[in-house]
Amino acid sequence: MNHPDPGRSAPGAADDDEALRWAGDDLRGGVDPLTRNRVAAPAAASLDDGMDAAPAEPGNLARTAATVGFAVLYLAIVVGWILSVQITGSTATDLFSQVAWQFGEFVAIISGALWYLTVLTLTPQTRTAVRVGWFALGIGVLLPWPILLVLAS
Amino acid sequence: MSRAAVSRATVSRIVVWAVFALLYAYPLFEGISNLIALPPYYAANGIGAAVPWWLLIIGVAAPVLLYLAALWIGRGRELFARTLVLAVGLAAANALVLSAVSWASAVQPPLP
Repeated sequence: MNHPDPGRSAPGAADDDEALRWAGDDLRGGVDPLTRNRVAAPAAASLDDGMDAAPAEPGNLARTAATVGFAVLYLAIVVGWILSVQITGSTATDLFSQVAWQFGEFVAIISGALWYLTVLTLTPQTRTAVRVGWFALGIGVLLPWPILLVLAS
Repeated sequence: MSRAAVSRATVSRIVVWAVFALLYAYPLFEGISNLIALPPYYAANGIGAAVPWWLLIIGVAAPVLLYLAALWIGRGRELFARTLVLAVGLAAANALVLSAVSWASAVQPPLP
């Protein structure tokens, strides 16, 4: 508020300060508007400065390790099924049965990848144990027995 | 959500259920046909006591149980997630049928 005051020749900074104080402020514990919003001391730079994402949670390392570890296992399952369909075959002669059998072999090949991606998609917020449980269940269900039995014999 | 949108979502859901029911029917058909054909074949070859009933039962039960489980897991989710779960169940059903067939071959005693 720097309205020129014809009654004063040279209004100084002390006058401005005075204008924004009320008598008795100090007695009532008030703080004048000039100093009220000043930061007394700038806060020390926090560790989060410059980071876009939230800091890592403690359980995230185990979750990431499980996700990567199971990715390798599921990749092995896909490879196992690719090898398995080479040694399985249908004795059916009609076209429909042959097409259906081929389709069954195809979805068996992609079953590992589908299961893995579905668990990733549907368990973004769940506990790590739940995600690991679904991964482990898929490994048990989708084991490529045709090639495993051949290798074991 | 308007009434039209609700009914459209319901129709989409039923179409997905029906299409996947047809796709699950083939592994189920294979399981049933094995259940019917294998015991007489074993009996005719004198190894009737060695029928792998547990494999035959898995072959029939797996497609049905996986379809029902996929419906149950997908309940309350959006259509994409429901479809994804049904596709995983279908793939698992086919993988289990192939596994059951290979196990049946592995445990079959030599024909006399």
